[in-house]
Amino acid sequence: MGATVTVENKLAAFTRANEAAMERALERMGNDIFVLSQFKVPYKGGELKNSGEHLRVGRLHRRIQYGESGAEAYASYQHRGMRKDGTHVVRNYTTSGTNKKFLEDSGKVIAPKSGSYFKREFESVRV
Amino acid sequence: MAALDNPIIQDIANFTADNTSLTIRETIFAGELKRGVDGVFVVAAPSEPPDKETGILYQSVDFWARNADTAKAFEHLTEIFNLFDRRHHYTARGYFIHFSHHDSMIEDMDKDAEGAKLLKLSTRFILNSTTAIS
Repeated sequence: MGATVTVENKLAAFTRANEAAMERALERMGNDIFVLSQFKVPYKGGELKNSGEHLRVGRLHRRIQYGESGAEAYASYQHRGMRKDGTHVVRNYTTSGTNKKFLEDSGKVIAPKSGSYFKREFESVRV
Repeated sequence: MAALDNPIIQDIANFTADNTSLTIRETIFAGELKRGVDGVFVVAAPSEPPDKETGILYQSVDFWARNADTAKAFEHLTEIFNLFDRRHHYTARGYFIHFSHHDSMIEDMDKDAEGAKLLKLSTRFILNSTTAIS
């Protein structure tokens, strides 16, 4: 009586599925950082808020950014809460409680939860 | 972020309003994040591609509750949790939902610029369009 064991190499499919899961996890994290930053961004007429974007800039690479066309300097000024040289400190925000570092702070809320984002996506990997 | 005019999101927000204490465009909003407004914001989350054989759609949805009263934010998301938790075979306007389940519990997502509480609930819907032609 004989027995046969066939081993099928699905490593390539597994690698592809894993990368797709990682992309989804990063997209979910980016999405949540973006939504949080939308709730935290300084608000005066909504121009800075409306300039926010969540972009996929490459393989496993995402960016959340504020400021477009000529507004980059204004976005980074608002994010720092002062000019690069430390002058012109923003003290009076139009919306009470609005604060500098709206993007960095949003990232700091999501980063400690990164394990749960990846776990959720990797659990669905099937090959 | 996913398209703000996603029809699935609109229909899920309407279904939620029809079956909870929330009111559309007053305390529940589809795809838009209003500043300084207490309520629930329904946002499309990254989702798996549709099944190419059956046409079944998989839509993940994030319900963000923003409220100056933390207890009220929990109350709103608890209503939504109970509404969609392992619910099956129901219709939300243009979609037949085979099954819905939560991908998370209600999560604390810090505070917004005005100091109001932010909570999030992630839910996955497995559904078909009722208007699709095969």
